[in-house]
Amino acid sequence: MTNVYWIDTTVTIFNYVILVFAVSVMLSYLVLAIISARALKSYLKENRFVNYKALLTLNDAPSVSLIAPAYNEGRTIRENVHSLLSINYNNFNVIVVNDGSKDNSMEVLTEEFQLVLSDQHYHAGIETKKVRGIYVSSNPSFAKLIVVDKENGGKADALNVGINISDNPYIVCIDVDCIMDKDVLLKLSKPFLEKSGKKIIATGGVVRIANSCVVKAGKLISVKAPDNMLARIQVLEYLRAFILGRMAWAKMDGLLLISGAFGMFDREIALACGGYNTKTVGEDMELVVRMRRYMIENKQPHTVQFIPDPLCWTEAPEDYSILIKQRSRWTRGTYETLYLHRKICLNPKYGILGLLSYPYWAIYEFWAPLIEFTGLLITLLFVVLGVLNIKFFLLLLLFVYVFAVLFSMMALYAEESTFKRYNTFKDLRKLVIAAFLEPFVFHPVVVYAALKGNWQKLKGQGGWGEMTRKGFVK
Amino acid sequence: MKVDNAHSEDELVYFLVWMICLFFGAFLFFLLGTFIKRSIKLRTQRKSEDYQKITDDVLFNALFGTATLEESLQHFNSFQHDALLKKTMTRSIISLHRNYSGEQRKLLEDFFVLSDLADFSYKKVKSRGWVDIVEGIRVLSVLNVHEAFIVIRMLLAHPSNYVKKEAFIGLITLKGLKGLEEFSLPEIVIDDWTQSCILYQLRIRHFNSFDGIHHLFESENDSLVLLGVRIADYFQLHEHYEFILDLKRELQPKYQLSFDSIRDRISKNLHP
Repeated sequence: MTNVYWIDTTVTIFNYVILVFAVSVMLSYLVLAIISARALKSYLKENRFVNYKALLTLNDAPSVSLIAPAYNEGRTIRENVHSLLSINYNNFNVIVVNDGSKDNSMEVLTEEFQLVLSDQHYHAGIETKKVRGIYVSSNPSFAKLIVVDKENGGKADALNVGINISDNPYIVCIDVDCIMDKDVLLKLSKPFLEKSGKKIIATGGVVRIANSCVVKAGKLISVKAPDNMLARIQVLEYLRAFILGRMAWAKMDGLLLISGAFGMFDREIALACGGYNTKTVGEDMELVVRMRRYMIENKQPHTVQFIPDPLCWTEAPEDYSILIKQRSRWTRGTYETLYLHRKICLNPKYGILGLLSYPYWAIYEFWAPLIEFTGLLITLLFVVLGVLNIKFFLLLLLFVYVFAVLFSMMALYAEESTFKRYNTFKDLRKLVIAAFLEPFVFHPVVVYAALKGNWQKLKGQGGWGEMTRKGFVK
Repeated sequence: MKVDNAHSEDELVYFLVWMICLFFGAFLFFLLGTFIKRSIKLRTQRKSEDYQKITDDVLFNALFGTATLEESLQHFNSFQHDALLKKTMTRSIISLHRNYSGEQRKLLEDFFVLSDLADFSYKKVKSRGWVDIVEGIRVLSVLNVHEAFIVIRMLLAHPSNYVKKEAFIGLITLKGLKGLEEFSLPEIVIDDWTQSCILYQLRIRHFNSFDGIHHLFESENDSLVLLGVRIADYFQLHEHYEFILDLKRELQPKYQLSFDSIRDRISKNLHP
């Protein structure tokens, strides 16, 4: 206290604003976690005795195309495509789109799968970069494989080519280097077979971190908590986001994002919407929002489903520079999507999407790092002016820190109560330690990456940036 | 109006201290909960492995003639029957039942009925929670407990759709399509998922007779008509093909698409 009335009042108001924002973030997380817990419980109850193999008897199960864009994946593409072809399902094909790779991806594919040029005509329902050729295998064992060679146009463009080539009613868009559960299509198809009144336009699944897990022949053999601290923290982050977050949004039918690494879409609706937007780096979120808008604007009842089973495993960045590139790209993607679809914000016509999902994303996903940074700047200013209330500041930090650790612990508890993929006490210990360290070694970097993303957007910088992967433990 | 800054500061500090204590308590709760769950899981796993050895010992002795059924039952009864042992034994019986046929399969069924395992499943069927009921129906029907047919048939009137569907699958699992004559067909929608479960049961149980299929064709319930058509298509029941092609029934749009595609396939089979 300075005993100068206007300074003390300003400090008090600032303290209240920061506190109210922090409490609102925490409350929203807790509410989402409670809804998720209930939804998870009922999902597990309903699927406790399900024998997914039964679906293999259904000749007319939904036909699905797995679309895997590949860019410079020559080192791992052989194993990845074999893994995709060995998925358990009746009616599916795999469309690998070589997005103008500069390495030997095409040569590897041609040799391994005995590819020959097909006479299939390419109909560009969605406009894309030039397709050089469509290849099929001369070996009947690989009859389900289609390989498309095209000029480089980015991931969204490659996915659009896959959508154009597919003649199946459903498409599953994946990252070619992800490890898929063998029953992934059986599990994704189940909601479509239990038809409710609403059309299911998309289904998302949980993406998990595969660093340090043992992978053999494209199959996950054993799950381990990553040795690398950064990857380990991302395990917690993904658990929180998928198990305690998206499950709740799906339950409320307000899901705005299906991870780009793995999602199933109704092809007809995706085509009608014009496919993936090639001008944004957040094409996964943008497509879901656009599809939902399309359905609402055309007055068609619809829903977006979410499956909490760990179906897709991906490699997380293990060093700060790649993490920062990834997160700044995510920020740009979020901004671009929110800006493109600003019309739905607080618009009752769009129901929960406009009234809740959009504002939530805008405030707590996009604006939160900016607000946090502003708060930090003002705090620094208070320090310089000598008006900082040290007691309040330290308590506030402790308050936020304890909540962050608590929320990670809740995610671990949810995992332990449901899918139990981390089997040893050692893994658990590693993850608990990661929860304690995350606010110091991870969160500030993520905030920095978000600021950088905004700065890049302001400067008009785009693109994906290099994303090098280390490869899985074999 | 003047803001009482000193008072506000005290309020904020008081609030923060309380919340920190609350969150810390919650953190401890979840931390302990997670470790306790993990240790229970590991203990159960170890116990389950021990029980697996017991069940393997009992069942393999019974199956390969080193012990009679009575001796095996006595051997099994000499152990304390907690729920985990019953579950482990039931799981083992089901898995062996799937792999064996003839006398050995019959022996497994008799073992299940003569031990207290069948009663354990009956209790589940009569319990209040639908999850337990579904589990009970599944076990009793898969292990051919024909005496359970009447109990399961009554469950077609259960308020839960999950139970109704499972009861329908269970009845078909027990008696095949012939069993359809013994109860009135359910009015609930038998969705594609449930239909695939029925096809799967019919396939793995090698039913030769599909005598009751006409009940499905004649049903007022469109989903059951589609089920009948699917069964005829999947098991290539040529004798019903002409009937299916002549079927003038207009189904609800959500079934018509599948119905038409199966009819097309049948038509191509008949008139290539």
